[in-house]
Amino acid sequence: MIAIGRIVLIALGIAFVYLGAKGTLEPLIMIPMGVGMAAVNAGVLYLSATTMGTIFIDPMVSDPVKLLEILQIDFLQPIYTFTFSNGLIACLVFMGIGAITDVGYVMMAPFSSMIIAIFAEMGTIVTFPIAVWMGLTYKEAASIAVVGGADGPMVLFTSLILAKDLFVPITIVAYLYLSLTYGAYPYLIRLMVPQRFRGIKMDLKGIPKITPGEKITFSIITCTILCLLFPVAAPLFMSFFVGVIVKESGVKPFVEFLEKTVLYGSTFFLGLLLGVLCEANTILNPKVLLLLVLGSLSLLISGIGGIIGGYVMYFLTKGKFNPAVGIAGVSCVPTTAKVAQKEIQKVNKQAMILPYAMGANVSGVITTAIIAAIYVTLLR
Amino acid sequence: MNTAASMGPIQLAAVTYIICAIISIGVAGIIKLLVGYINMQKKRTAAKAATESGSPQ
Repeated sequence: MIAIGRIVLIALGIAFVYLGAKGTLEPLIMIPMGVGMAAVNAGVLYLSATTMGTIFIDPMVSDPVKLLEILQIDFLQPIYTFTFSNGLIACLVFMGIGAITDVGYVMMAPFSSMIIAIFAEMGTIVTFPIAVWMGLTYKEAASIAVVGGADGPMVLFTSLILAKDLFVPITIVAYLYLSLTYGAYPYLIRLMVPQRFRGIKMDLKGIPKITPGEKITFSIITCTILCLLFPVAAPLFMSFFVGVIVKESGVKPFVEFLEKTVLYGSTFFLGLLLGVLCEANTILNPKVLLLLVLGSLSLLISGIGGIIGGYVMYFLTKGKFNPAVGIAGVSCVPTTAKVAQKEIQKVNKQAMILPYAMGANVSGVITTAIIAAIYVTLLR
Repeated sequence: MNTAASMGPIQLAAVTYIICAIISIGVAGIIKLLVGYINMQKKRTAAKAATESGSPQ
C-alpha cells in the first residue's frame, strides 16, 4: 500500500511541477512542492536494518536528544524545526503580504469592504458544523473550515495549533485549491450574477485619497486592538501590519527586503517543505479524502457568501454597487479581485471596479485572521 | 476552553460569526472615525492658515 502510495505521490509531484510551470496552478508554491513531493517519495533508504525512511525531514520527532541528532543529518530539518513547526514561516509570508498590500482600498470604503468580507467568511463558518457531523473533532473541523478564508498562512497557523496531526494534508488541500480558485470562481460569478448586474459601472470620482500617514495610523491602531483582543494570533496580526507600515513608511531597503527576499524566500521554503512532508507515511491518512471534500466545500460556500454580500451592497446602495465585486471578499489577494474585474469587463469594458474589489480583498484578510483567532482562542 | 467544548457545533459557529462581524464592523468604524478626524484636522489647519494670511501684520 505504501509503495503504491509513493508511486502515486511521485506522479502527483511531477504533475504539480508541470501544471505550475504551465501556469494552470500557482507556480510559486506548486513547483517547489511538486519537486519536494517527487523527491521525498523516491529518495527512500534503509536507515537501519529494519526501518526505512528519508534524510529530508522527520516531522514526528519530539525527543530533544533525538531532535539534536536529526538536525545534523536531515538537511531540511533545521528549516522545519525552527520556522515551520512554530508557525514562523506563516508569519514571514504574512509580512511579505503586508508589504505588497495597500490598506488604502479598505480605508476609502470601510463599511462596504467589511460587509462583503463578512459574507465571504460564510465558508469558514458553515463548514465547521458539517465537518463535525462528518466525524472530525472540533479542532480538526476548525482547521479545515479556515480553508474557506482562502488564506494559506492562516490555514497553516491554525492547523499547526489546533490539529498538528493533520496540518500537512490540510495545508496541501488549502494551497491546491487556492491555485484552482482562479479557474473556478469566474463560473460562479456567471452563474450567480446576471449580465445586467455584472455590467454595473461604479463611481470612482467620490473615492477619497488616503495618505501614507493615515494608513500608518490605521495600521498601528488596528494591530494593537486586534492583538489585545486575540493575543494567541498576535504574531500573525503583527506580521501583517508591520509589512503594511514598512511599505507606507517608504523605507526602501526594508520594503524591498520584505516584498522580495522575505516573501519569495518564505514562499519557496513553504512550498518545498509542504512537498517534502507529503511522504507516503505522513500523508496517507484516511481523513485526506474527507479534507479534500470539506476544503472545496468551504471555498465554494465562501464564494457564494461573497456574492451574496455583493447583492446586499447592491440593495443598500440602491443599485449602484456591482454584486460581482462580492467574490473579492474571498481573500486570495489579489487573485479574486482580478477575477471580479476581468468578469465585469467582459460585459462592460468601461466598468472599473478594482479599487472596490481590492478593498473587499484586503478586508477579507482581516476577517479571516479574526475568525482564525476566534477559533484558536475558543478551542485551543 | 471548556465553554467551547460544551457548545454544539452550530452554536459555536454562530458565536464565532457574530464576534467576527462585531469586530469587523468595529474596525470599519475606527477607520471612518480616523479618516473623519484627520479630515477635520486638515480643515482646521487650512482655515487657520487662511485666517493668518488674511490678517494684516
